[in-house]
Amino acid sequence: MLPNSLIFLAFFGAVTLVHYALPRRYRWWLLLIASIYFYSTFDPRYLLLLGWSTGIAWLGGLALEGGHAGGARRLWLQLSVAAQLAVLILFKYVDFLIGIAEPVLQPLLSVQEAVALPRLEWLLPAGLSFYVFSCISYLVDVWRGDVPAERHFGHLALHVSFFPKLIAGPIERAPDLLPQIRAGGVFVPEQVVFGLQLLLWGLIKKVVIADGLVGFVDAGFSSPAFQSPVTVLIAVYFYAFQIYCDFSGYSDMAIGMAAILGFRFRANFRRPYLSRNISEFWSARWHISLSRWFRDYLYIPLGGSRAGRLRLYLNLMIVFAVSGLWHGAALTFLIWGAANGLGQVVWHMCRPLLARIAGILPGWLFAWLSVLLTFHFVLLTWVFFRAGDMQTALAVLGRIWGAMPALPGLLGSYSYTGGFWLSVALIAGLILVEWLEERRPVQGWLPALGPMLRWPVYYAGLGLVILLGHWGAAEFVYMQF
Amino acid sequence: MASDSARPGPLSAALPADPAGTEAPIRAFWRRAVLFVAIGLLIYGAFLAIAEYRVRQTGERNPLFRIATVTAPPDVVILGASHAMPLGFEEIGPALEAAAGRPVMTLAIEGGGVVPNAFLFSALLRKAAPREVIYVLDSFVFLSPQWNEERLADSGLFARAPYDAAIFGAIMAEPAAWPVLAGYLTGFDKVNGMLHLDIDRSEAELTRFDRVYRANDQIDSQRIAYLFPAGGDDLVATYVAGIERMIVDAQASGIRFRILLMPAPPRYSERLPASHTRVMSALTEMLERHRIEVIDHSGLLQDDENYYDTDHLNRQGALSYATDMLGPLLADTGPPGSSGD
Repeated sequence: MLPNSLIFLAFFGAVTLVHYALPRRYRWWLLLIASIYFYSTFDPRYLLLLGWSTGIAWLGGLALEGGHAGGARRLWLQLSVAAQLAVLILFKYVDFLIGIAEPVLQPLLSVQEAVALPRLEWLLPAGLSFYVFSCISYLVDVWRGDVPAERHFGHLALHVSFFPKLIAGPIERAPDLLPQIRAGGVFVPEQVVFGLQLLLWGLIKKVVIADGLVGFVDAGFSSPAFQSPVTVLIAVYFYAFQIYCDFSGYSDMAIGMAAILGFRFRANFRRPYLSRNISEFWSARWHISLSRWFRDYLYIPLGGSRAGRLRLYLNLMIVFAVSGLWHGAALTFLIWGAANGLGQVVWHMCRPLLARIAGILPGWLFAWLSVLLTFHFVLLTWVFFRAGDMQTALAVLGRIWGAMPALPGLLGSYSYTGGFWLSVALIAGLILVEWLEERRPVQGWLPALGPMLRWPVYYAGLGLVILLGHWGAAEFVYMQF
Repeated sequence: MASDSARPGPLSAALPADPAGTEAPIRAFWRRAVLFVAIGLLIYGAFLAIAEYRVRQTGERNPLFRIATVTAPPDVVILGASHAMPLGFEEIGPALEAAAGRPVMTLAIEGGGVVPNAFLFSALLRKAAPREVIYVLDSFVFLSPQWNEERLADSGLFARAPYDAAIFGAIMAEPAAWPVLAGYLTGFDKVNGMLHLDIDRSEAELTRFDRVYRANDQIDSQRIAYLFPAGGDDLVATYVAGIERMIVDAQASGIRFRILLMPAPPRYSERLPASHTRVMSALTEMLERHRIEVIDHSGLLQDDENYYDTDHLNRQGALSYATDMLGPLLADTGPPGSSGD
């Protein structure tokens, strides 16, 4: 049951009504059952993994708080985290590691033929990386004393499996969510309205914009060597908006649904393509919950920026390489992560130079140039993220680069369909909305408008979703992670 | 991502600050909500009326539209997947009727296996009983739910389905169609597609029907690999039973039921894998038991000039087939029992 389907929206509506009809102390029961049912619709066998991760987190949390000595606590933490990571490695990385091992084994074994080891070929359970990270952060938080161990198994299970965020985040942290689960989800009309607004906006991003771009992107990334350079170029630009609208659309829907049920999630995206540098993009605007996770549980423990410049650069590279592999077990994801790490390193190195340029250029010009440069750097890295393999990624870049001098002339030969112009118009609308939101957040002025002005905006949004939405057409990109 | 020098400020929540307690005017909220929904439903109702009107005005090839708007019982009904679709394209349908001397209704759908075809047959029987059914057989549809339950649950199939009691009855009678029930009743698929209602013809008919295929080994192999992926043999018995139910229903209603193997070029038929043979042997036994005639035209029209892609008849091939081969055959064999049974 995909969240971008009518059946899911009906399911969510029914859960919401029953949720508020129940006394607050029983609401967690309903939400847990709903979450388990929702996850089982992908494949009931996945519930075993979800149960494993939750069970390990619960037992590990209790053990960490059980009054053990320092060394024993550390051992409990290591065992619990290793048990979490084991699931991730088994389902996500084993085949990748086997693939890496094969060419290494050939000379070691002194055989003529290429070594072909058997693969597990297990299907990656939806949202596995998200809930495993959620469990690890809970364990580390308990170990650090940031949050007491949750004794109520049901509450912790709901924290891990809460269906709005289960398959693609945001990665909520225990100190934020567990107290809300205990409180049961409070009905606050303003929060429900806010949630509905966000749910609608997320749906527009996903089913109207992102899914409308799928055809163009697929056309450019399938056999790029045989596609026209303009087709490939359009695919690359459109993919930047597809991935953004797909993922942030899901996040908006998740935050909106949680708000409707009386829970508060943190923002996961803040107009990332308006970032003025790659550091801002990652630290404050794109997939913020994952960035926080890596910052708190990897980057800072590695020493962060406190151990000298070289160590800072090394830490950034490590964090981004791991982040790349978190997204997928493939060389393309590793390159994508490393490229983003390198981008940060270069940005750190160039900061004095950039400060000097900023002093020369008019402020608005520097800001726009920074935004454009950052966007195009991110665009370039998305090629590796989207391509199925290195060969495709290089073919995409080669096709564009090779045709660069002739591109202006080739633009006229492209077949510009109505669907293309509609997509361009929707992207332009998205950029306009985000730019306005950047200057004056909607929450600051929309609620102050009367229904006569506000409601037409809502009906127009609903009209977009109903008339132009691609319903149930495509999974969310981040579900595969 | 992790640069603590550029760390976001206080982890600003996505939500506005807590309102002043729970004293908010909940009753007023619900009054506004009911009004908002009521206005929304009125607007939606207007959209739905426009969408239904447009579906009825622009409907042409869609099998559900044809069933809903059938005025007289068709003499011959052709069911099947995309291979059968050209028999209903543009001038091919009238040419087939002229050659057969009988009204022919083509209800084939792209990617339509046994389950969606049984659904169409069930809906049609609720409106009118034809005298004969020609089921164009494709062995690959017996191997995957993709062409069966999943295809029937594809809401896009119902985007041009007018409101009709026969279609509603067929949905209720087929559990595989239940996922589309809500969309059909609310008309959501129609409203969702109301901006794309200009031409009710398949993409193949609009853009590829006049092409002539230039044989390509790689494309031919890819096509076969796509249609006949590894595995899936375990479903054959299920779908053979499905077509058997259609046959039993047809015979109970006095409808003649025949199986047709459409022309296919040798570069396609020679690549058919072992799973094709297994499907055909499972079918043969059942068809013989029910004494169903199999019209094997798979050896006709062997030249590539008759195909617009690896295995679909183009305009030239379809016209030639309809007028010179299938049409006369349908004309020769009259109602059930007259010949060929």
